[in-house]
Amino acid sequence: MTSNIGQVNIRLVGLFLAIQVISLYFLWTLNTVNEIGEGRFAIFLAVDMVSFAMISYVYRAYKNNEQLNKGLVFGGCCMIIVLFFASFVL
Amino acid sequence: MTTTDVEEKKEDLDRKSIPTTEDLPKQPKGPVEQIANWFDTRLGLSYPFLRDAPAYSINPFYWLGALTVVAFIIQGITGTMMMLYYVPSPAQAYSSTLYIFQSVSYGRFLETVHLYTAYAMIVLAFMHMMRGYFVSVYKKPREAMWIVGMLMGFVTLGFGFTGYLLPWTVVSYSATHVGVGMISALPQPFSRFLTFLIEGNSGDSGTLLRFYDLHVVVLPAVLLLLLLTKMYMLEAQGISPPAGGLESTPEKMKKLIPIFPDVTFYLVELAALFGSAMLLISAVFPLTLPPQYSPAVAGQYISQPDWYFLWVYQILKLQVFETAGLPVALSVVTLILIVLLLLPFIDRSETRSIGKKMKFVTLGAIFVAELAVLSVWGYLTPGHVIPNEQGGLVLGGTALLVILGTVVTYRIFARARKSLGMKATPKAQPTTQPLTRSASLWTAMSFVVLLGVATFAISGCISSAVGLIVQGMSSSLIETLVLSLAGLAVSVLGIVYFLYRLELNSGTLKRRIKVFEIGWKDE
Repeated sequence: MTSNIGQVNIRLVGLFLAIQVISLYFLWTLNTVNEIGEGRFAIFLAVDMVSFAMISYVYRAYKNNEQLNKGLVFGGCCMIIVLFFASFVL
Repeated sequence: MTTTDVEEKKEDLDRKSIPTTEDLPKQPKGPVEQIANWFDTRLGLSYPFLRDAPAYSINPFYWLGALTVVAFIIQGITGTMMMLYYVPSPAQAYSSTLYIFQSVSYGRFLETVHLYTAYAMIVLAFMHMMRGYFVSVYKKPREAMWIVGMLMGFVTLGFGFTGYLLPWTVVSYSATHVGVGMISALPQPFSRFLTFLIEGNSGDSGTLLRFYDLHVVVLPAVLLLLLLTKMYMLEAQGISPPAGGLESTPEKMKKLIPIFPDVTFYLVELAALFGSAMLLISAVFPLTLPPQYSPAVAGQYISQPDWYFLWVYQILKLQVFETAGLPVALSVVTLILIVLLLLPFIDRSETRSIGKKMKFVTLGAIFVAELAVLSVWGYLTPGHVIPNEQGGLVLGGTALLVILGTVVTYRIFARARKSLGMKATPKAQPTTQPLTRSASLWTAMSFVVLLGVATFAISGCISSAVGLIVQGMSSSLIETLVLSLAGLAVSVLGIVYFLYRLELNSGTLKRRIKVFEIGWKDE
């Protein structure tokens, strides 16, 4: 049971780390002297922060040997997807 | 064993009872651990300086104050970056703000995040205060924490007031003009001192410079000082128990969890989510700069304060206060703020449960609803005087609706408890005898009056001191200064005495000093 929790947690952390790397890559490619560029910068930074919060949550749950709250993880993933899409709409 | 031996042994024991950073276990392995150990020994990084938190505090409502501090930190970072480009003079304030907007990398982003985080800081501080009101966090021994928190709230509003003028736009200038107009209507000791503090005698340039200094130096310093005081008190008193009391809290929730990493990581998660929400709002609704202030452009705009002062603005626009004058309206606003500030001394009941405090909860709900209604109403009716009938209808109607809503909600909960076979909530029993309660009430009222006198006296002292510095020696100013100092001394002594009496009444000092119990005989 514990090893299953651990495996799921490691996969989730990997996923969120990958999202952080992608958003950081985008952050450095933006022109930040115009309104759209600055808006996208804000959104990718927000993605980065949500991913960071999720990694922290997964770590806490793993450390205390607790089951992850599926609603929270699902909500976090949805927020990241919405943010990514919002960056294209801007 | 000689006396010296005994003293040495005692000193050894004393030394052992106080842990120092040198007592902490350290097993340096590699160079990294050695470096970490070097810092740890000198800075005491692993010294347990923050107490563990109970499990029930892992709830966002317990950390609204911490989120307000996060907002303040974001304000500090973004504000410092903008300070590198901003010039606080009427001729260059707008152009330097425009330069940050148009030519500085991340400039608009910084401005927008600074503004929205400032708004969020005010909202979070208000939510923190109202949560404290509803769950009665100000009960003994946290009265002083509540007062410090309220002062921090006033400083937060001061940040909003002073920061709004800095871009020197027509909107910000007009809004500040409304605020300064309100200050000039205050009684003379206040208005003289505040006008000197925020406006000076050198016109627009002096005003802008003073607002800038207050915004970036004075207010942050005051807020940090208050924050440190509050943190110290929080560390001493601990996190307040849940509204229902510790008795009804499950054992699992009472368990203490370490401040690091559990609570710290939880706070980091909340801060990251709050930051991302701010970033999203900044991206979707980027700030646009209104036109620069000039007397010609200002004529086309109706003066209106920013949203967090709209409720005051709307109260001032009520016809009843238009007739009675600005000082009366401002007295009403001041009274509301004083009542909030002194809430721990006004609400002396010992119950904290929301279920047992219907009247108190209703009053709080009315306060929140009226604030919301006044703010929206003020936004929708800029510059219009509100007739008495309309004012009575809207404000009275709102209060009535809230009262009905609260009564119905309490009834539904009472029935639900009954149908579930739970015991009806017993009515809160008075914990003190009627005579003592009446004495408490009188003490609280005298306390309010004394604080009012003290405030006047402080303002009188400062204003006469300022007058003596600016205008030179004059007998009337010296008279005012002496009278104010005497008033201040009397009120401070009175406040100390009344605080002492309250303490006596609560029973902590009663057994020790009987001589002060004259007139406080319990039955």
